[in-house]
Amino acid sequence: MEPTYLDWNDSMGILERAYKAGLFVLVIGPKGTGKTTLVRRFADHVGANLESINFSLRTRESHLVGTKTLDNGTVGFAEGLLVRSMRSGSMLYLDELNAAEADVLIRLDESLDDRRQIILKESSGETIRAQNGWFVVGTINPLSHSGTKELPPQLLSRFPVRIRLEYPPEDTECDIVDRHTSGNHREAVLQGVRLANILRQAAAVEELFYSPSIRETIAFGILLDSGADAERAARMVFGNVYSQWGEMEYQKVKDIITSMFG
Amino acid sequence: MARTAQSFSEIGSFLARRWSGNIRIGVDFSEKTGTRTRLTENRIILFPVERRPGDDFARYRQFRMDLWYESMKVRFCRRILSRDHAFGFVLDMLEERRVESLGRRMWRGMDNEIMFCQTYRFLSRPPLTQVYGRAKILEAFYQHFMFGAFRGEVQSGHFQRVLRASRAAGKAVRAALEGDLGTDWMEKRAGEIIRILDIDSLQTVPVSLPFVRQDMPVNRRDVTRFLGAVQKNREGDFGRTDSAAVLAGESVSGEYRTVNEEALIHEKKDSVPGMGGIRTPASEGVDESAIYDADLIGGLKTRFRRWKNGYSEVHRRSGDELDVESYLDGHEPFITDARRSIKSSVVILLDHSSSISADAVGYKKATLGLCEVLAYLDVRFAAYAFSTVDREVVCWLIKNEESGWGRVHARRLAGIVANGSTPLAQVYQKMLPALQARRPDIFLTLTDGEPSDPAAVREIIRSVRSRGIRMVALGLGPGTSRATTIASNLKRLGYERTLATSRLQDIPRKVLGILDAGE
Repeated sequence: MEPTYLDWNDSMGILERAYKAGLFVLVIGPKGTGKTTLVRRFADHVGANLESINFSLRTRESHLVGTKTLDNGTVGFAEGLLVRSMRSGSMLYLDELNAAEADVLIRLDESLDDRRQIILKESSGETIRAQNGWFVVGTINPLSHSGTKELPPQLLSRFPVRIRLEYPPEDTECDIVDRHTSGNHREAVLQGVRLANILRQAAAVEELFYSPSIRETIAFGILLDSGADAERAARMVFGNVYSQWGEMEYQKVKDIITSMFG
Repeated sequence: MARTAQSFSEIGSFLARRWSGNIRIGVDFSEKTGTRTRLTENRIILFPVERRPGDDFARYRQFRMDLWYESMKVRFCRRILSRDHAFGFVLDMLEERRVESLGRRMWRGMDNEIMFCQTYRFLSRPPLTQVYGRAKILEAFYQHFMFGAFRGEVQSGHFQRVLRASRAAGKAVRAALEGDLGTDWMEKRAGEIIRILDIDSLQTVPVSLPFVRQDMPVNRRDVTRFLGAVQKNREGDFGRTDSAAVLAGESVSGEYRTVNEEALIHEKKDSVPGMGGIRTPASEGVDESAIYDADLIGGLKTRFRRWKNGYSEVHRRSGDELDVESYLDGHEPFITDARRSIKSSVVILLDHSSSISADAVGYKKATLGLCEVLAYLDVRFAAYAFSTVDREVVCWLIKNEESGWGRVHARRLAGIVANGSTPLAQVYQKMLPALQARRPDIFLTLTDGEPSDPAAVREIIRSVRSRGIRMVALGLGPGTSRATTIASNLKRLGYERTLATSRLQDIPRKVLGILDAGE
C-alpha cells in the first residue's frame, strides 16, 4: 500500500477547487519536490483516470495527436494521448512541459483554449471536442534546469491556476520521509534533510552541479531502516553521485558529510 | 606628469629596438640595480627616470642617452659583464667609449646629447672624499678617463697610476676603433689596466647610482662648470661644442613634447569619466611575479583555446531520430560549427577587504589568471577593486575597457593591499558615473563578505539594473558551506544571477561561464 500524501502546502485543496471549476493547473517547482506524486494522488482522490505524457526534446506532435498506420493494406489512424484523453474526458498530466519543442507546444495550445477542441488534420480533418470533465495539469521546472525553455505566454495563459511547489521545510520533509519509513531514526533523518538542504542551496548558486530531491531523502531513511549507519548512508545517497563531476566536486560534499556525521 | 614607468618602458623598448637593431630587446626600470644590460635575456634595465637629477626635460634626456649607450652595447658588444666587480667595471668603461664612437658614426647628431649626458653623469658621481677603501682608485680612474677631471681630490699615491691607466685606456679604445677589434680584444686590455691600477680584478665595486634625489634642485652653475670640464676632455673627439646648444637640447625637445602629449592622451584614455573617488594603484616598484601563476594561466588558455578559435561544434538537429536517408539526400547537417565569441562587455569588481587578506596571493593569482584569459579571448573588460586606505574606502581602477591588458595592470593588481570592510553601496556609488558612461553588458562583483549596507546595495543594484546592465555576483568562501551562505545572502540583494565558489582556481571558469551564458 502506498503511503499517504502529506499535503503540506494545501496543493491538493487548490487542485480540487480548480478541478471543480474546470480550470487547468500548472505546477512549477524544481525536480524531486513531489509534483508527479501530487498529481497522481489527486487523480486517485477524485477517482479520475490519469493519462500521462513526459515531454522531452524527442516528443513529437504524433505522440500527442496520433499517427497514420498501415494494417493489412488499410490506412488507419492511431490516436495520440491528447486525443484519447479528450475523447474520454480523463485527467491529462503533461510533465516537464517546458522541455518540449515549440512545434509540439503549438499543437497543444490549440486544444487547451476555451473551445477545448482540436482538428485532426493528420487524419480525416475531424474536430475532436473534449468530453465534459476533461482536466489538464502541467508541470514545469525552473529555467535554471538544463534542457528547459521559457514557456510561450499564450500557453502559460491556458493554465490560469499555478501552484508553486518548493522543497518543504525541514520538519515537513522529515514527516514525509517518516511516511515511507519506520520513523525510528528521526534525528538521523533530520540530519540527512539538513545535508540535502545544504546541497540544494549550493546547487542553487552553482557551487555544486547537482541538487538532491525528496526522493533521495526518502532513500536515505530507507537505508537507515535497513541498518546502514548514517554517514555511510549519506555517502551512498548524497555523496557518491558527485564523483561524476570529478574528485574535487566529490571531496567538497564528502567534507560536508564528514563534518555533519563524522 | 602623466608619463608612467609603463610609458617609459614602451618608449624605451621602441628606441632600443631601433638603435640596437635587436627587435626582441625590452626595457625595464629598477632602483636597486642601476643601469645594466642582460644580453641573454634581451633586457635593458635602467635607473628610474623620475629619480634622476635635474628638471623633467633633463631627466628625459639622461634616460634617452643611457638607453642609447646600452643599445650601442647590444649592437656592438659580444658580451656585457657585470659592473659589480673591478674587471667588469673597467671593461664596461672601455667598451662604452668604443661603442660611443661606433654609434656616433651610425647615429649622427648625437654629440650634444652625449655631452649633456656625460655632464650629468659626472655631476652624479660621488666626490672622491666620500669614497673609501680600495674602491677609491677605481672611482678616480673612472672620473679621469670618462670626464678628464676629478670630483674632489685624489690621493697623491694614486694619481700617477690613475693617469697611466687613463692613457692606456684611451690608447686601447683608439686601437680597437682603428683595428676594428671587439670585446674579446678589449678584455685583454682591461686586464692590463687592472694591473696598472694595482687592484684585484674581482674587487667589489659599490653600486654607483645617481645619488641626487628626486626634486632636489641642480645648480645651473654646477651644470655649466661640469659641462666645461667634459667639453675640454672630449675636445679631441668631438671638436668644439656650443655649451648653450648642449644645454638647450633642441634636437630632442620636439620628441620630448610629443612624448608628453601622447602621455596625456593615454592618461585620458586610461581614466574613467567623472572618476571622483576612483584611483589608480601605484604600479612602480611592484613585483607582479608573485601573483603570476604560469601553470594556472597556461591551463586556462589551453582550456579555452576553442573559444579563441571562435567556433564550437553544435548539434543542429534535435528531437527526432536521425533519418539516415534524408540526411544523405542533402538535408541540413546534423552537426555543424557555430561561431562562438564573447561580445558582451564586462566590468569586474574585486573585493579587497581585510577578510581576503589571509588568502590574498591565491585570490590575486586567480583574478590575474581571469584577466589574462579574458585578454587572450579578446573580451572587452574593465577591472576595478576596492579596499580601505586610511579609513577611507577607495575604488581602484586596475584596467579600463579601452586599454589592453599588460604588465602594468598586473602590477596594479599586485599593489592593492587588502584591508577594511565591504561597503558595497559606497563602492557602487563611486563607480556609478563610469557605469553610466560605459554601459557594460555585465557588471560582476567578486566578494567574500556580506555588504555592511544591504539596504543601500539593494537600492543601487535596482538602479543599475534599470540601465540595462546585468548585475551578477560571485560569492567566495573557504568551504562549500560558507561560499553557499555568502552567495545565498547576496542573492537576496537583487542580483540577477548569483554564484558561489569555494575554490579560488574556479573563479576564471565560473566567470567565463557567466559570459558565455550572457551571449
